[in-house]
Amino acid sequence: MKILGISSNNYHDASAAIVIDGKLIACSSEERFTMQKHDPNFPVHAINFCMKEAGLTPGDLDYVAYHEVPEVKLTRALSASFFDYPRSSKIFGTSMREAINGAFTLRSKVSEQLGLDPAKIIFTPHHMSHAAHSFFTSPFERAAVLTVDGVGEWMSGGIFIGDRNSKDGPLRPMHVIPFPHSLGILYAAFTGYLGFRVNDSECSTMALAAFGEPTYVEHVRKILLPDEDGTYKLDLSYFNFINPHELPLTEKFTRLFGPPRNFKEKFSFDSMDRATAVSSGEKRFADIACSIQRVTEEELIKLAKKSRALVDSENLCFSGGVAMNCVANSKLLESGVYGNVHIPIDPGDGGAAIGAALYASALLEPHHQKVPQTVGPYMCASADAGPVKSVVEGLGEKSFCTMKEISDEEELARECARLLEAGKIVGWVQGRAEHGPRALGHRSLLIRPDDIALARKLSKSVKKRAAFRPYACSVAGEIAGTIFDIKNVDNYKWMQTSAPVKAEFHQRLRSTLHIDGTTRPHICEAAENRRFHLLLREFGNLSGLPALLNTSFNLSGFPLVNTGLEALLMFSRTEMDVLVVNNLILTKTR
Amino acid sequence: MINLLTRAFTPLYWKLFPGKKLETAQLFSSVELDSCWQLLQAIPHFKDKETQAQLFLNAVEELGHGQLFEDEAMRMSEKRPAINMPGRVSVLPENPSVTDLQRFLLFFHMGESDVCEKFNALSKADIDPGLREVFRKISEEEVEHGSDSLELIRRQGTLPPLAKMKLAITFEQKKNALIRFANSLHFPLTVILTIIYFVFGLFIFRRMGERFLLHREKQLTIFRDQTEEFQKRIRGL
Repeated sequence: MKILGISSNNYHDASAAIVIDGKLIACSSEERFTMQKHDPNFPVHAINFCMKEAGLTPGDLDYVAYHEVPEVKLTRALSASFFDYPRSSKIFGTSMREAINGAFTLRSKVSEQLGLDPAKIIFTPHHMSHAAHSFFTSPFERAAVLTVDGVGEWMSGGIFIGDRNSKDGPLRPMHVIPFPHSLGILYAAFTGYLGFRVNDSECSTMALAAFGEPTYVEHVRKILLPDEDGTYKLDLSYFNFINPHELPLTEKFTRLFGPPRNFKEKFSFDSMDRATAVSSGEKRFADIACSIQRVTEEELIKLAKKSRALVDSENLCFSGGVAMNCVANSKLLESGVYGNVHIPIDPGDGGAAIGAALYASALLEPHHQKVPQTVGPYMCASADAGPVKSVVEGLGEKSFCTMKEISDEEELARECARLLEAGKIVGWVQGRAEHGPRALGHRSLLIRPDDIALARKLSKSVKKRAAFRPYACSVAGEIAGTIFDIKNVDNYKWMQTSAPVKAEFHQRLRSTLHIDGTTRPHICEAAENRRFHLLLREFGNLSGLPALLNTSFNLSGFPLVNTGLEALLMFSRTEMDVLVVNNLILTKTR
Repeated sequence: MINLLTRAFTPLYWKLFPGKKLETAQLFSSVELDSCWQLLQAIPHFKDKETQAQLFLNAVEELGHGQLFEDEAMRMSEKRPAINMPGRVSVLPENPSVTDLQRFLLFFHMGESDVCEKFNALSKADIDPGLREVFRKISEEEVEHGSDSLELIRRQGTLPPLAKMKLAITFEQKKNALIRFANSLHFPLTVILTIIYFVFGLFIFRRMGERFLLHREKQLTIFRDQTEEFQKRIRGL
């Protein structure tokens, strides 16, 4: 059975996925094809890619699974508006138009675009899509499944039992956290308050938190109150949820925390320098960031404990936008509530298309989901070196780089390792891109991990990235246990969590460390990514440690590069030294 | 004439509606980035390397223009500007013929000439000096893009009837602009919704709003029922 999953909600991260006979064949976010970060538009390009990758035409599809139920979402939008009647009159028209469009035109739109009988379009509840994504891509037969995000229909979180062999269905809801009581919205609200872009720069709030003290926890606790069911509820007088396009805060919030940060002001914090002097204003914002981060971690652990009480299992699957918070995820792991935790590669809405399709598959053909399947990261579009080669050859005298092709994989890895060891900034583009927001060795920018000056150059001249944001670290799987102070390496594979680095490795990995001595590890196994593993190994032969600083290959404000030409574009616009597209190595000459 | 009007009235318009200045900078950023994207989509379809290289260099500059306008928007804005993301639609069909490629280049040429005139007019208008400088710089580069694309059209083979093609493109551009305009006219629906809001809101707002305050057990029951119903329905397909 061929099922296309679609996620698109007008706000962020539209995506598509194709599942055939229960197996995920391809998926991608729309942003990768349009060069618009978090592109919310109906994912036409991502759908085309998935169909092509699977060798299908629209008539071949059996079902389309959509990641939410627009009619239920409409009731939420209505209620949200009338809850604040008549203050909500100004935005009622706009918010209703979007919701009405979704509820009444989506089925026909999808049906028209894909030439499919409208009855074959399935609308999966949003949190079920998240839950299915994490559970069906996990190695577990039975697990507690936790979802926490901003909002999906009427829910902002849920606890489910995931059981592949249950007669009552593979996923059963056990607890819901209703909208508007949302940890995701609370965190996003603080992100906006701190001057960062909501639904994009929550990672900046998380990074800033490491520089602060949790002195505002009591203030945050005035907003996020304990509920009688052991979870939390929001004091709604601090929020204005009416307009989804604006910061949902009331004056009461700013009276409690002080004026919000002007987004143009720069922070002096530096993840590679503990001694940087900062102003009291900056410190206040760092303390607020630290406090909301601390409360988020505490609530997440409480939710994990609650799910453990409801579902007797040593395994937890966790997804939803809040599962992108790698620091909170690591606290969840450290808490020891669960021995095994699976967080999918793209736990946010980008992954909801995968979940919708897998859930539909599990209900329609239950036998396919009885056995866990391994879903690797490299499910998106391939990069082609051909156009890159043609363009560079065509540039002639205007060329800004030299070019050579190395077809032998080991020789290519050796050559690139040599360049990295010599202190070059290398863009590394190989085959099919990784899905999700993190670069996992197919669309990566790489440098040696011990050179702070080089990392600063990368931040300033290539990434245009604030100095307080730390970088991630890729290491060869065989030495992960030696470098990181962690118990179960499998829980830390794809940068979903941060991990403490053992003190003896701090100097050698210093440009990948945050101020607190942690990093986001990408633990690369040869079986999963042979070529990148080879590169790490060859770099290890030269430097003594098979580890590299790894950051996403994108221009500031853009998504990960998709094609070789996009990579070449970025190569030409920044101070990168080397670009590798499959077997082609380009070295900048000017 | 239009350029003179642009030059004369834009400063006045922006003074009366300051938010429009920001919107314009964002719109131009979006247009320039779309040009960059269109060029990147088109490059692999051209056979000769020189054309590919030329289009790539243009794409690099278009990206730069997009970023310049975005920087200006950030500079002018007091709060973080919202991002408007139009859906991207490639001008080229999936498997383009030589005529399609020439048409694409002509389309690009016309677009560049059009914005070049606009930017040139705005670079002489009485507006914010920073923005004026951006318009000046970009209009100079767009002149080159316009002439480059004409040269590239010739390079593709027999010259097509340009005037006829131009007319067809203009017609399509106008048609698309009209469709976009029609789509943006939400006014009638907004009026109906506002009436519904005020009239019915008086009677139902309490009940609708109360859904927010439902007890969690009740919420769970609703979700469970929905899930079961959903599962039954899917299994019955």
